Amino acid sequence: MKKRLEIELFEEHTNVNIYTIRFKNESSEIEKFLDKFPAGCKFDRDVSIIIKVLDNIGKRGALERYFRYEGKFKDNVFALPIEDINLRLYVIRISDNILILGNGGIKKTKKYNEDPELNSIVKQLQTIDCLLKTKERQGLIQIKGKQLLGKLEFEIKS
Amino acid sequence: MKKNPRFEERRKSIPKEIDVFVNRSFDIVDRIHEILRLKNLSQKDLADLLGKQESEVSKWMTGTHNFTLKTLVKIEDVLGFPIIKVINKEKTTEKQSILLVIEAKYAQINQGKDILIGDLQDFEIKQKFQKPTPYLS
Repeated sequence: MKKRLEIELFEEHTNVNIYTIRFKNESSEIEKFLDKFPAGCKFDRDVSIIIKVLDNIGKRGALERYFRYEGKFKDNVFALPIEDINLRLYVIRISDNILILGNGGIKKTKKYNEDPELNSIVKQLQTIDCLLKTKERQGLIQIKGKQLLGKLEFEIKS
Repeated sequence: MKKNPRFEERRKSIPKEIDVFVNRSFDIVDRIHEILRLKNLSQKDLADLLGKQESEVSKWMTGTHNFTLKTLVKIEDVLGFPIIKVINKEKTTEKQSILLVIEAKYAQINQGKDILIGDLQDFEIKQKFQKPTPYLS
């Protein structure tokens, strides 16, 4: 079965445009993350730190050293490696100026792939990352400064 | 610049302590990175100088590490450059004294009491209150 998705602009910052992924007829991936941890929940502090980290990245650039590779070195899927919090948010780092937010969850295991929920999120981002690279090679999407240009609607196997 | 309403709503309730901590942490790692770049050193070189594993230093450099003062001093020592600066104690005390007096005077105004500009004279802030008001004339 195939799923349709769109990469949409989530927020603009001084040095980074932050995008997210929206599957057809669903909330965006970052909205799903926020829905899991609403204001006032016991992870409120963790969400606050994540937002502040994204604000800093937005201001300073999505530099590679601010992220931790998750999965394979050949892909651009990273976790926001925030110390002393229980949540993980996964992203695709396209460049120093473009970041795509995925979903995340509670870190219950040492490695993401030991947790079925986090593993599925990371795998899905790896598929999307691979697709974006192919589309870029084919000239169907372009990276220009902070912008992802072209038709940002795709289909992936679910 | 486009902002997301849900993020904006959450931003409103971010405690000041988190705001300052994350900003400062990023300032510190950016400063360390700047020094490494100036000295043409890598994170691996810094790890070697500190007798640490590269993976540990790399973890520090992601932006939210809670550095101990001891670690920062050691990094300053091996790199030979300052990373953090402590604000001069005397100046802070003087400024805090002025603010305390202003606070006390405003409390008096809020209680409907008259105060005299002369009360503030010693603190060289008289000019701020030159404009006549019902309370400060």
